[in-house]
Amino acid sequence: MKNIDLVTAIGRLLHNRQLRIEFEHAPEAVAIRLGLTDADSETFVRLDIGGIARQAEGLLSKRWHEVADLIPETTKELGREGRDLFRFYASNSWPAGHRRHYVDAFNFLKFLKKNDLAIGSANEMKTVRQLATRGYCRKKN
Amino acid sequence: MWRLGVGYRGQFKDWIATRPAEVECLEITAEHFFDAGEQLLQELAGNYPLYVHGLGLSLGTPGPLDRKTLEKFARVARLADAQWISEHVAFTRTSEVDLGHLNPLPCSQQSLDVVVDHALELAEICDRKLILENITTELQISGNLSETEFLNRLCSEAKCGLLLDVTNLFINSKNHQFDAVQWLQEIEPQNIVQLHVVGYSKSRDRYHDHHSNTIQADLMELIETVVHYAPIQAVILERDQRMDEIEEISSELQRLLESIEKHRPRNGDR
Repeated sequence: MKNIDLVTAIGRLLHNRQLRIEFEHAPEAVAIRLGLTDADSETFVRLDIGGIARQAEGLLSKRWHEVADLIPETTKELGREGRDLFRFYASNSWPAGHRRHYVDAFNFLKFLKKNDLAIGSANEMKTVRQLATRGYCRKKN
Repeated sequence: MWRLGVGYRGQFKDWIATRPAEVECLEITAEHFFDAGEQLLQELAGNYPLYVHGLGLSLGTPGPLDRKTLEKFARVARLADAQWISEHVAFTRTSEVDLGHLNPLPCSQQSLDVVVDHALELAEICDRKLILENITTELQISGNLSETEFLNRLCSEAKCGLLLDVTNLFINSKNHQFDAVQWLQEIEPQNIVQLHVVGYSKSRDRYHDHHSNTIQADLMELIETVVHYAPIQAVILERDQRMDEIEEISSELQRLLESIEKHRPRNGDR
């Protein structure tokens, strides 16, 4: 496996739940597998798994708040299940770039549609698609 | 001279268009203007001193900065005629994934070198003074430097200033159990250029930064300590929830003005 730097290793822990489980049980083995240098490995194995888990949870929670604001109709229809469904979708999907929240909302709607789950109006889908592809919504401008 | 203002959001457009007396400056988020809004940006720049704040440059990620993001950021700073620019002491992405939000760096020489190089590059490309913000974090990563030593050296080596988020300092001091005032006193006062403030949120035993609440008394006390300690040039009230509560936001600005004026040293006072 290609060696990685400490920031990349921390990033992996923050977005990969399975790696967090492995790290909790055998941090040294994970450090070796990631090919960290001795100095990075020393810092890595001392990371607090509770702090990592809370930080990881915070990342998903912030994403959910951003997405929920963009798709209020869908969020209302999903009710209490919305957050859990988003978590299921989001843990394997990490959009990149400055439109990531729009892309996240669009991808979440596609995920819901693919799984025949509640979804807001076609107009909401259209608006989010425009935001994801252009960064702004033609109607508002 | 110092200025008081808000973090500009689209929801504030009508309010800001009325030129409220309590708003003396605006901080705009660079990413909000990457795709559109050039005309609005120029209107805002015509009416207010603007500070341009970035969220996604990920200055702590080893390797080159993302060229496209850097160019877009520089363009916004130029259009805004920014008084200064700001980003975070953090990483938001790695070579593998965009985590989308701010994450802490180890306080190590290695991280310091990465952030210093990126900070110098950003300031040079934007041709403006850069200030960097402390983040709130659930994760503390050990390093061979203390956080305050890291920040002082960063300011010195990158020739930048500190955007002290007082709410983040307060939250971290509660969640990680350290003395916020002692932390503050370890920072060189002249490094602190601007403040971010907003009330904290609390659920169970953890404190959070949801940009939602009015400033609580214990947090206001820390803000007063900061403005007495450091020659700040701007204070920005952040708000990302309950955006329609304009009267509340306006009265929060008034509270801040009175409180800061009361505790800020006059010339020759320090």
